[in-house]
Amino acid sequence: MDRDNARYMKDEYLKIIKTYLGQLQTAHTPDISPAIQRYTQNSNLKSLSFFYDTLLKRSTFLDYGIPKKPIVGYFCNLVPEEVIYAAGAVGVRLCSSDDVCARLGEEIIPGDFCSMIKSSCGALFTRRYDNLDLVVVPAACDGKLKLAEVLSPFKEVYFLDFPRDSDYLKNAEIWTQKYSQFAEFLRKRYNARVNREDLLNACKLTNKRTDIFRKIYSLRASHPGIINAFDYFAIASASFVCEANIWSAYAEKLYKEAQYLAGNKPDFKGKKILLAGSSIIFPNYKILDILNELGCDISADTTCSAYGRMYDPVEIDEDTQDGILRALSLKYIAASMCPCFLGIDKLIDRIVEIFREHSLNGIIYHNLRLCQVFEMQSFALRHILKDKGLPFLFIKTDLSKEDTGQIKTRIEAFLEMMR
Amino acid sequence: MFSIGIDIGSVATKCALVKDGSLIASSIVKTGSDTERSAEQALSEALKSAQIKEADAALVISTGYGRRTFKRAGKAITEISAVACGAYVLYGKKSCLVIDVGGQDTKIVDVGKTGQAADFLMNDKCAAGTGRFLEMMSSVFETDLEGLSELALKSGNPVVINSTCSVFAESEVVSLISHSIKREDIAAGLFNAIATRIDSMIKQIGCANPILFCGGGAKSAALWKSLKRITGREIAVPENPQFVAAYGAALLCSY
Amino acid sequence: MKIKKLSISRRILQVLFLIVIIYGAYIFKGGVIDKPNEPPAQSEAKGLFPALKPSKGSLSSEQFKKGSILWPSGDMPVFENYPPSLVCRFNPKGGLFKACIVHLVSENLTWRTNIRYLLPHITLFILLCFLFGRMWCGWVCPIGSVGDFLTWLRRKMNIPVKRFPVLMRKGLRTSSYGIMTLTFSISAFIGIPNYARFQCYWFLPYCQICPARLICPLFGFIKPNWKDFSTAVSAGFTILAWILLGLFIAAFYWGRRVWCHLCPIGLMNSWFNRGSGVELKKDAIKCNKCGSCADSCPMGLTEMYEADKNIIYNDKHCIMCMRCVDVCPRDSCLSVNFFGKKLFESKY
Repeated sequence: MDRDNARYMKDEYLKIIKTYLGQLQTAHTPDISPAIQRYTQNSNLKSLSFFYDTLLKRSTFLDYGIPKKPIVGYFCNLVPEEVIYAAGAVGVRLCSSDDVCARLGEEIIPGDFCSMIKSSCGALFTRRYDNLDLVVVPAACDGKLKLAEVLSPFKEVYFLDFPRDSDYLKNAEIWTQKYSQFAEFLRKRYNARVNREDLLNACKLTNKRTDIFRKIYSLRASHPGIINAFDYFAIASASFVCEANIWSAYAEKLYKEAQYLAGNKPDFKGKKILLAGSSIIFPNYKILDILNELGCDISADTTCSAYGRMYDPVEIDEDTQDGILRALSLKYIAASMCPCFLGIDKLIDRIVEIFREHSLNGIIYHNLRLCQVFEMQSFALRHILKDKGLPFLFIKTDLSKEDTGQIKTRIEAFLEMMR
Repeated sequence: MFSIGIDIGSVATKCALVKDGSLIASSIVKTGSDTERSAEQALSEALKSAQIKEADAALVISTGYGRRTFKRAGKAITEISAVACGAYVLYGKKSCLVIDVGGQDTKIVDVGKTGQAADFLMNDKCAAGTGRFLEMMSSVFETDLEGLSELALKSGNPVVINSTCSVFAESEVVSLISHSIKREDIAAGLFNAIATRIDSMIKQIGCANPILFCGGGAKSAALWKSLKRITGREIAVPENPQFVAAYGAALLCSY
Repeated sequence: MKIKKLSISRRILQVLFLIVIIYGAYIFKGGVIDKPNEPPAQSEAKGLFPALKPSKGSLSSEQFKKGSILWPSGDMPVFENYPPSLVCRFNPKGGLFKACIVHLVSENLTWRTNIRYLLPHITLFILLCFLFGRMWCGWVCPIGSVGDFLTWLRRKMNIPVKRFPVLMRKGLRTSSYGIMTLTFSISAFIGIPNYARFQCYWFLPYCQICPARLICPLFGFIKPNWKDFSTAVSAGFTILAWILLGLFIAAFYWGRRVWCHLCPIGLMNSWFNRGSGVELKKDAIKCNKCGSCADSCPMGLTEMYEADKNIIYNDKHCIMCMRCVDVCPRDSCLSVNFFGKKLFESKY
């Protein structure tokens, strides 16, 4: 921790890049209001408006009102949000799946690269993130690693690295150490305490969120169609930019409303699909659109934008400061199903378990094009799940809409296959 | 009663009239810019050759990529299910593996014991390794698909062509021609390239069932030979390989 | 955060057992009045559990006097029984039960008691072990409860736990075997009539160094016998007792239940742990490999985390505190079973 964490490039290189960047214009944030309008028309729940409003409001400029709290952005599910909260800051997950932002990102990142990273990078060039104080980049995949370098001329970057093995026995000590370093960094930067009580309070916030998310998740699985997939992923995406306590309060309201509706809802006729693989983040609803058109519902998912983000709670055993950080690392890293970690048995177990528990009809494995890690494990996944007799479809696509027809054919054939 | 299956593909529109599980009439027209009109045309041609009226048909089922544009169809199913059903019946109601090389996409369908697709694999969103690729290559040789196939069959020493991407392969072929490599060898190399690609798809699906080769690509004897050599497995080709999907679609009425 | 039901009930039971076992003689008024000065002849068995008495002339009562290392600091206990946890004979007023199993065995090896009288006690011990396994360590043992209090104290002081390597656990268990063998062989040796003269120094060798001897009297505000330098042997035992007490406090303070690997009572209990009535089960497909179970295990066991198949887990080291079941965030992944009947399962 002696060296400044943002020094990924020598000062001279930074200067050259900054001069070059000075010539570029700051881009405008893509307008997502038409998309929001489209999806709000579909939903029948009143409490949903908060989540769409949040998405819309925060999509142009991140502002958390007075008193001004520092805003800390982070990528992936591997950064402990609780530590950010404990430091008195607001955590914002920066992962973006906007096609317009992806094209912005192409100014710096090569075209044939993971569109999620391009989009996240492009989004950071927009006015939306002017307020952002710090970006925390975990060492998830190679793309994220280099993203830390790419972003360093724009924002202060904290790089959180750990071994790419989510085995608890081998690496728990390292995770705790890395998380403590991160806490120490935030402590210095924001003059915060980040002690045991702060962390405990922050954990309570996120656990409350997990609590309600789980309720919504199981309600959706048992009553398909009660909260449609668009709204579900919008709720999850809203949690990226919304403080945990406010989110939970509104989600609670939504849950009550949905539960009330669930009592007198006719049975859902379509197929119930489990969506695994790459994350679905708000404007990228291509797959959801297609599935909706074909009359099936995503009853459950294992994506890192919804299930992976909020399903697992922090289980604190040792309530010391170190113990809490360790418990956080267990939640974020050890239980992570991210393919950048070694081993897919966790993911397979989860898919099989969810599939059987909620008696779903099929599994769609969604892969954002050019994400090697997701794609590489698809072969094993296909054959293992086939062996277990679970219908499985692998879909490779990106953020653009050009292959909608082909994907539709595939999903349609998949649905015919299940008949 | 008979049923009608119309397969609106990207290159050709096929129509099959089926009575009691057997094909009584068929027609094929080129798919133009108006898919609906070509479907109508194919339908009327088939009806004319069988000399029956459409009103007697139990059901019209459309399939293929243009299946949704043909509004009159009673039902639209995907070409994957249609091909699976057609191949299943053609193969004596046994489970098999179907290779369908169409105009726009290549499909590998694992047909289960019940005649339904158990698993399938399609090529990526670009046209690499499909009928479109062969069509473009034959235009480089200033011939058609049959001509290219005949050319390839004459080859004794095929070259290795690495790319199945139409654009990259075209430049590769042009450069090979300029190096005065024999046209026969280049043509054979092209078929080998596609066959290799299909072989890797078969391996991905991991199925040991007997293989049935259909679709427009199956008309090419050279591709069939290449596939047999590269996969090392016996490959059967039905009589009218292009009509398998249309036939299957028509059969699906009774299923 | 969820309410950890099992941990809370364990705490309550631990406190209850601590009170009952240590202050049992105050509460239930032990009727038996011990007269150690007059060792009577071996009497006929009365009732199910006969009172075991030293044979005539086998042992001088000198060393049980106040100021001597084995001064029992109280009367005889309420029940003449030996439950499978560390119930100390040095409790104030004698406590509820007589003593621990190590005490029973080593005492009677020296006395050369007829197995006929010993058998009911041993049978009860095995039966209790068979029913509850090492739950006696995790839920009952008063010394374990004292240790858990130290752990609680450490947590309140915000001091991180020390996790010890597997090798150390194995070493401690080996040492435990060593201590037990030594204790029993010394006890048996001094029971031989020719060597009876050593009895006044070497009687109950483990009790002389056991930290419970020093801790238990404190509950009755009785000063335990901190030091006895009257002979070379007792001086040695005194120093060993201090070392072990230091080890005990350190082990519980920094390392949760590391001590329990060394405890010879726990060792004898653990022989019956596998196959005992209480068992832990894991449903492997529900596990998300978060490692909470291994992380929270006070004995530092990791098998539950490592298991990739459905298992029934009652390892010899497992003290059945069921903390793992309590912290597991997956619904019905881990469960507690009693003879195959599910009692409790992990719940988010």
